[in-house]
Amino acid sequence: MDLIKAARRGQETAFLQLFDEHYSPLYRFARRLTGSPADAEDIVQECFLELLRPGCLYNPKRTSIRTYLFGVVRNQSLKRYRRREVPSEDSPEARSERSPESQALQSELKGTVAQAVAELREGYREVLILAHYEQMPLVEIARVLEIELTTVKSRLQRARAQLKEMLAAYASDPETKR
Amino acid sequence: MNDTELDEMLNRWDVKDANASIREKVRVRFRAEQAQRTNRSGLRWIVIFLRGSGKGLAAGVVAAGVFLLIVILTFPEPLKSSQPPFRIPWFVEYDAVRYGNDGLPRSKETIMSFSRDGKEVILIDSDSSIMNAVRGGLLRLAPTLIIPSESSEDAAHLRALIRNSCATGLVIAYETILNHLTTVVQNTSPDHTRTTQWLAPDLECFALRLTSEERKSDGTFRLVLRRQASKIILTR
Repeated sequence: MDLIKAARRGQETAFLQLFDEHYSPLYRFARRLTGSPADAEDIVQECFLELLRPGCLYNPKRTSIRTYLFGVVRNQSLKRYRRREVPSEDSPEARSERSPESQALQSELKGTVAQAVAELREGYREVLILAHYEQMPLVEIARVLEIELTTVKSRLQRARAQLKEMLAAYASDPETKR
Repeated sequence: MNDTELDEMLNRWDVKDANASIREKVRVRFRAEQAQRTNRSGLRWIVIFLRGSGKGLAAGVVAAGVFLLIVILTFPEPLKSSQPPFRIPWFVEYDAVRYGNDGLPRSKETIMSFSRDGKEVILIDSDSSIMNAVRGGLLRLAPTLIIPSESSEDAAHLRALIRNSCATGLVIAYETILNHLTTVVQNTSPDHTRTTQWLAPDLECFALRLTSEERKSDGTFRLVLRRQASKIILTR
């Protein structure tokens, strides 16, 4: 909290320290949600700058800074993800389309996994990304998404079940297991 | 498929870390926001000062205000601005890298600027924090000192240029940068400097990319400067 206060008073070092401490997982989360490095960069920058603004709703008594920032990134990412009609350059769709046959199988599998996650329902996708890729405790995910813990658990379970179905063909392929 | 197999498969989807320039960009934006807040808080301090400084000073300020009003009413022309209030419609954030004789980057700056009648106005330059503060203050308090005054000649010239797709020199290609179509124009000056600009007609022919190259004695060119827009922020 002291860092936020100092950053709000204009201390650049405090702001950058706050940024350095948190930006990396936030960027990964935004990148996986939006599929676009440019959008992810923009969202992460904006969410830190939002902390300095007078109308910022962050309340340290209610939630940790990490949880708050993940919540902001999630909301911003979903707005952009819904708005975008054409898949971005980096999106799984675009990547799988442009993959030539000669492209390494591992790279294709990476695209397939990304695509499968992208095809999950919105509420499932974010829970899966936070739980699996960010290793976030389920209680914290509930706070970030402002939903019940039981809902988090059921969404995660369903997301994983759907992914198992979608990726079943690749799991049975011995080539992909290398 | 069991849980372990699924986890293994999900782990194949790794994402690269953010570009290292993200820290510099957020720093520049932090400074820009601070400059705005400093100006706002400056005004607040003036109000607090006036409130707390007694009746004598307040009377003096009122007298000065009345004097200023009389001057404005008596000599309106030199003091009134003939220009309508100008609002920055968009600005561009870009990185400028200078290269040494060995072809390696020597310095890098992150700059925010916009165009007024085809003239570039720099808002923030990561290389000069004091100038940024001065520039930021003037932009809010006396924008006409920073923003070039509107000239009908410049505006007409710019309109003609935009109609001509910003063809200020030899057009070598058309490319899209950050969703803006640009005309790629190349000019070689008598001192053998070759400048290539990617000019966006819908952004008043602003250069979204620029390279400056020096001709070497063997006829080849050496890159001296490269500017590349990383973001366009629309304010309307």
